[in-house]
Amino acid sequence: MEIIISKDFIMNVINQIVKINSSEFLRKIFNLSTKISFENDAIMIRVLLFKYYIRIFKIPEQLSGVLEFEHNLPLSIINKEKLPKNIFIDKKRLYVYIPENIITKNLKIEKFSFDRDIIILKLKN
Amino acid sequence: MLIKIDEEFINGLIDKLIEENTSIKGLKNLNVEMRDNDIHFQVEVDIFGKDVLFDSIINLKGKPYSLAKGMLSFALSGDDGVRKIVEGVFSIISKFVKGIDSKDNEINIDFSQIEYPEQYRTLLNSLKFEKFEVKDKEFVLNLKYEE
Repeated sequence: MEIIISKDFIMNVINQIVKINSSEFLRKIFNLSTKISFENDAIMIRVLLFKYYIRIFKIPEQLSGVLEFEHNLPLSIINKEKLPKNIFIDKKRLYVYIPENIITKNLKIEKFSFDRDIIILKLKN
Repeated sequence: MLIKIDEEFINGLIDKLIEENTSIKGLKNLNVEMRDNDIHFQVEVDIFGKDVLFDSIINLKGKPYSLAKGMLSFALSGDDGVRKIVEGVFSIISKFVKGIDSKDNEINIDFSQIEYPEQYRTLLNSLKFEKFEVKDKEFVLNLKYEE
């Protein structure tokens, strides 16, 4: 199974969600940011003079696991309590927990990449 | 957003989810085969010591306009027994989920009737079904954002 998502698609969806969602963090990022791109397995966010990134660090073999990213986001602007329950962030790392269920525990991640403004996720049994 | 699911993947998942987790006496094999625009759902059973293969066919008839508008419809044909089971399952689901309807060998999912939280309706209506087909042993779905 292969899922391919372009940056434009994600940006359009996120823009719509930001309009209806009250998450301050998202609004701040999207109001200030000038440019977002996906390259070399990272999401690059340019906000005014700053460059932020969220880069894939460790991918579990099984889909039900923890995706680990490294980042340089300023923790001061992130309200940790408003993050989704399965996302945890500390100074250098961001962890995304994928809960185990009958489907996720039977799937393996074959490929997960952010590159050339495209996200590719390949799953296999 | 492009999603591709091939035959091998579906069969691998069926093996793991159903065959390894449940034991239905006499059930030997469940298999999905994608041919032309059809999905063949094959059930191999052992009845009174005889191997029997039931082949039911699901044909994609119509695709919805977006995630919040239009109708997704399938036509069922092939072996009566399995067809009735599939129809029955959807008939039960239709009692609980608004927008799903199953009758006369057809299953319809009406996206206009699905109850989404009101604030997300505009977003879901912007996600258009550009492609929804079975081709080369693969199921392909392409969703496009369009305001």
